Amino acid sequence: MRILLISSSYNGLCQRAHVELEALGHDISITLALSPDDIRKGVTFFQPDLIICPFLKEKIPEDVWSKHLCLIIHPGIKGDRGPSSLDWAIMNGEAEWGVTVLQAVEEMDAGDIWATETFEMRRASKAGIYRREVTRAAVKAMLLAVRRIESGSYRPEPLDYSKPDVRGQLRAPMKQQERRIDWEHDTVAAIIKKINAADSAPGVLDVIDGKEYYLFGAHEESLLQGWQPGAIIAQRHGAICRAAIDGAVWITHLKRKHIVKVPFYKRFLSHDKHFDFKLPAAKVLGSVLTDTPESPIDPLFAGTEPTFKEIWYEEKNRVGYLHFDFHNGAMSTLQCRRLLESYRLAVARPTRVLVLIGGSDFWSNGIHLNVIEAAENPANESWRNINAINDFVHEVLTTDGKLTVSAVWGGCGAGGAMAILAADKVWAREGVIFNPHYKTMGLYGSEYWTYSLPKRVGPVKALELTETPLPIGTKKAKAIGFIDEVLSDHYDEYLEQVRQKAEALTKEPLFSRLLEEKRDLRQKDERVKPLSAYRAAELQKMKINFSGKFYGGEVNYHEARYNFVHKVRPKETAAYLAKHMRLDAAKLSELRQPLAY
Amino acid sequence: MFFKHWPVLLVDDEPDVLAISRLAMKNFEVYGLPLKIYTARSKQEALWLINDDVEVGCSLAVALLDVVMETERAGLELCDYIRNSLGNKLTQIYIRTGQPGIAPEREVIDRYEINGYFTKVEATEDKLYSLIKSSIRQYLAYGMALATVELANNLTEAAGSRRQLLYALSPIGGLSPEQAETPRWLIIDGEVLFADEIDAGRGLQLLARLGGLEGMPLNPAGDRYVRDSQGYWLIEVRGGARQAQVAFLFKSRFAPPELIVSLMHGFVKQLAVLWRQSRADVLAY
Repeated sequence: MRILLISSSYNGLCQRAHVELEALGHDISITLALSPDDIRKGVTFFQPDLIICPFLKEKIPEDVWSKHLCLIIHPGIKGDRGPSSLDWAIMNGEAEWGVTVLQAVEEMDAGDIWATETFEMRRASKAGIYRREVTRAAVKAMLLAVRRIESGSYRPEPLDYSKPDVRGQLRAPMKQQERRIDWEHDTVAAIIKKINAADSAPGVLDVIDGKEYYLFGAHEESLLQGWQPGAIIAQRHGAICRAAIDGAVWITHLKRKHIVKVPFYKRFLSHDKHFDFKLPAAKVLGSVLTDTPESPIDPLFAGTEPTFKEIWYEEKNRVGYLHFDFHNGAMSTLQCRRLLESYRLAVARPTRVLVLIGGSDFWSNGIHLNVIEAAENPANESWRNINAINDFVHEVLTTDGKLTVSAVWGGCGAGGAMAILAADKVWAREGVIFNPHYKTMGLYGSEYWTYSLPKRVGPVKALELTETPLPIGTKKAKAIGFIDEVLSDHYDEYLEQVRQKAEALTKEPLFSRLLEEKRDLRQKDERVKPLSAYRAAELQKMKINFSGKFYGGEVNYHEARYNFVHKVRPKETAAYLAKHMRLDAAKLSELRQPLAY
Repeated sequence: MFFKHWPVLLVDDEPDVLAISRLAMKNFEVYGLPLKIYTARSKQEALWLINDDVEVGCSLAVALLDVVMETERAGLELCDYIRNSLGNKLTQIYIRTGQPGIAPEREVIDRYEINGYFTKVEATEDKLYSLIKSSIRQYLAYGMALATVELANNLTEAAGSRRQLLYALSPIGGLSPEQAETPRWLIIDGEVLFADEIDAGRGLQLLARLGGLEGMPLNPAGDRYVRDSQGYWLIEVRGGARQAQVAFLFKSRFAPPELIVSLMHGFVKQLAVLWRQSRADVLAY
């Protein structure tokens, strides 16, 4: 079928829908819902058999949904309606939630139901649930709906609140008033629930030191305590710990409330900086934390008590597991340096295999664009950050005393998608989406990609992957050799598979043989071209991206980063996504613009 | 081309040497621009600086390195790092040693890719002056030549599509952090690239003003360059059957020598020809 995806942004779910539908042989084009006219243009040019909206905040124009079958993927159970579905589900402590595929009609979320899926709720942030449970259920329900449409005989179920299985209801958008934390009365559990329900957007509005901030990234603390609820009692790696009536809670990120938005060009040419985007809490608060003590944590933390930790370690049966769960997978200079330190400690442990687990939502997405944007000199901070991440990747590439595995549960993009290749084996969950390219950020890229990517997929594919900034799913990734194994999409099953496979590697004689092969290969590669030469060549290109020289500098990266950090929507859907524009605009330009320039 | 200063790195474990060199070089100017001096007291400190500041990491014009610091060959290792690990072949590296016995001149110049060698006794202020001045000339000429070749390669690759040509040109014409202080315009057949209305208007006014001044011929075809008293430059390629008319207007803080102007003329000329041969498409990627 010809399927047009209409989405508010090309987010994780939209990427997944794109990859899954394309893998089934459907002809897919994408248009971002930038305006009703954009939607109409997409529909007119592409003439789809079916329209699917994986993530849509806007309304579809009536002339579109009345003439074409439009399916909306709604992150709620049957009967649930409104824009704050997941927020309410978390706040109300629902044990089970779901995803429903609805037909678009005049009234929002009130159309006929084509498919629905449910899942067990987990104690996690809204974004975490969206990326894991919602995405899995949405893809399943979407594919079922598509099959039902293809069958031609399926009749969708009208929304009928009198049916016993229609448990949802229409809910108003959740307001800050309802999210507000009452530090004098709310328990740690209640505070975490409130922050989780608003994470990653819009955040819970609160006052710190007389100024208004949105709070993000809540973690329970088991040891620290304070007398005054709401007071900041400690800081750790950029997060702050605040006392509550029955314990304390860590808050990792803050965003200043409403500062006037400045267009990129003005902001770029002025030296005034406004940090109206999400940043590590300590960075935002600055001098407010002068007297707040730093609460240290073991670089190879192996405890089980709840606290805020980005890096931790487990060990069993001669296998080490290094977790590094950085917010949104972004790794700043300091985070990279800490990761390198922890990695070295993990390598020194008496194990045979070291598994790099990454984080729960993302393995890694490369350098930390928000921290770079907030730096005094973004070009210098970019340079520091890329060098720090390269140091970590180099350490993995040159680990010769044990086997290394990248076990990818969350997604990974840009530098993160290249960094996984530094390990000897790459295993990934079935639903992972990889974005092994830098082009959308205007960068050449480093992380030794010019060494590891062609080594795995060959030079032609390497160029294709990096030049066309499209996501790839695990099926394609496995087929081209980007990864070695595809594992289960269910978390517990996945962990068990990782454990079994890692332990299998430790068994003699397989282990010794693999280790020997690894050392020989590395030595051979080093003789052909040393790793330092790959890095040097990549950094020569990156330097031009960061800061110019003889003919001035490029602006693409700085502008792309600004737009990314400030969530500026693009003016048009990128040509590599909008297949309909690619075809028809070329024809139009030939017709309308002969070479009489 | 759009430099504000010339970055220079001094590495020496003797604080007095650093202080005296800094003092001696304080008032040096090359092509009217001052030096920006970075100092480090050991190889380790220099590495830290290189990893911390993209200007030291990538855009050093000159580096003066002592040899014996934390180890007997620390300075030479640092030289090796800059040349091979950073892939920086442009920076003019000089070895300045207090113990020539440990790192003899011939051995060092044979084994390391350095631009010169002298002992601390030889390093008088006059010697430093001539050395810095000549090495920055060398750095600028070599760097501009390489950058022009790279730019020309990018233009050649982009030939056929004006959109691709614009992409290749964006480092020059597009907005950049230096743009506010050193504005520049690329004007093809009377149309200003990369500019909003106000900027375009300013560019065209300037073109009219500079175009009226007498310039220096660049070739018999009538291409020329013009410089006014306010530091504005115009490199102009005449239009014709096979090439577009292109004007490259810019403000520079220093007067580029003749050689650099002809290098720039080279790329403007190439752009003029390629632009005429390319079609105006709307395709990205």
